[in-house]
Amino acid sequence: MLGRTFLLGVTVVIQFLLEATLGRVSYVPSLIPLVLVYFSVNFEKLWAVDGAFWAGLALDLLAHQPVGSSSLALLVGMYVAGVLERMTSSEGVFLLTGMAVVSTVVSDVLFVLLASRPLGSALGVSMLYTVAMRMLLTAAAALFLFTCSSWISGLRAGRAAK
Amino acid sequence: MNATGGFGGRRGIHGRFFRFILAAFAVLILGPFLVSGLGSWLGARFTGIFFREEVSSREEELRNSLVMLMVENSILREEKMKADRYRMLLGISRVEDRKAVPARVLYRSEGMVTGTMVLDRGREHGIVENSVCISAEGLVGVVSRAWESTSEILPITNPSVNVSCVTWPSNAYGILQSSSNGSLEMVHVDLAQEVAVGDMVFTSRFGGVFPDGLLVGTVTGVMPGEPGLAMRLSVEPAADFRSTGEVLILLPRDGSGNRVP
Repeated sequence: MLGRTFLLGVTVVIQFLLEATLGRVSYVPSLIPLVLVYFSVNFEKLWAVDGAFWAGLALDLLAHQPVGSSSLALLVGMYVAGVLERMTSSEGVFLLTGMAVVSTVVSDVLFVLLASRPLGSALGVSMLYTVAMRMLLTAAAALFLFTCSSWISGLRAGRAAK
Repeated sequence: MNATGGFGGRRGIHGRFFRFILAAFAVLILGPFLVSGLGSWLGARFTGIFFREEVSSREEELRNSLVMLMVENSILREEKMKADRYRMLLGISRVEDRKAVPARVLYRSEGMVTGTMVLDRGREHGIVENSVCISAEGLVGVVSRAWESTSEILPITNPSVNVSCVTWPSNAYGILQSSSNGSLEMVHVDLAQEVAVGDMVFTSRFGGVFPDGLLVGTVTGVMPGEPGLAMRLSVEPAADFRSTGEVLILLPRDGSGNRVP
């Protein structure tokens, strides 16, 4: 539990650094939904709720965004991802990737709507393009991460069987 | 991987989701107040624990330095004004090799025409009657009486003071007098001279009391004289008699005083 909390904290810091540097000139993947999906599916379901809330809060404070906007966006995104998980019959890497992508899209759109002043003023074609690019990058990162994770898990299982 | 069961469908997780969403929504609404208000209160309340001693002494030191610098700046500015004024006075005094005594106007009696000025320098400083008084702007008047440590100046606006003057560049000679209304007029000016408004008026080498070349004023009007053979010039004095505070007394050639460098 402590290790995963630390890992989530590191992810928040990395996400903040990415947003504050590369995110200003280009597009960056959304790593927090990816990690939250992985934790919630493989460990306790509470990660989808508590992790989203506190990670979003920390990210807002770090990035000087309206406090609570990332929390709310991540919570809704994770909830929609959970609904997707319940509705689908697939499993494995592609399910996790799909959940991460769905939660990223939902949370990004919601965050832009909540963080812009006046509310919702940032909604436009350019914002949708940014969300689409982030979605693609997140999907690529999720595929890579979950594939590596699955491969490592398989190796461990094979060694344990021997 | 253990990807079994959606967390959106479970009742416990479902309720927890909505509670946290409500909490996030509340934070979003109250966030600005919490961050600014609570942050300010916490800062004001607890910053002093760590920084009070150091900040207060440092602030006090900086405040004292600021006040000292402001006072010093004010003094230096005043000294600069004085230096500029003295520089101009000394520049004017170089028109002739005379001894000069700087003086300050103590007070002036009322009236532009018959009023006088009293200076803080007198006989013990070498000032004698008929010494010439000038300011940075130009000729002020002549010493009418000198006591031990003070002296009285008759300004050129006084009717009893006549100054032999010359205009420049028209080079017309005349006598500067004060009219009954206090304005200065230059009379007995040759009609043949082509004097124009704006010509400058200086003391001439005639007369004996005033050294030549001292700026007196500017011609503001040209009028024919009553006899018809001379003309009168209206003259605006260069010196401002109401605000003159520091003057230079040019002593007669045989007077005592400090030589102007």
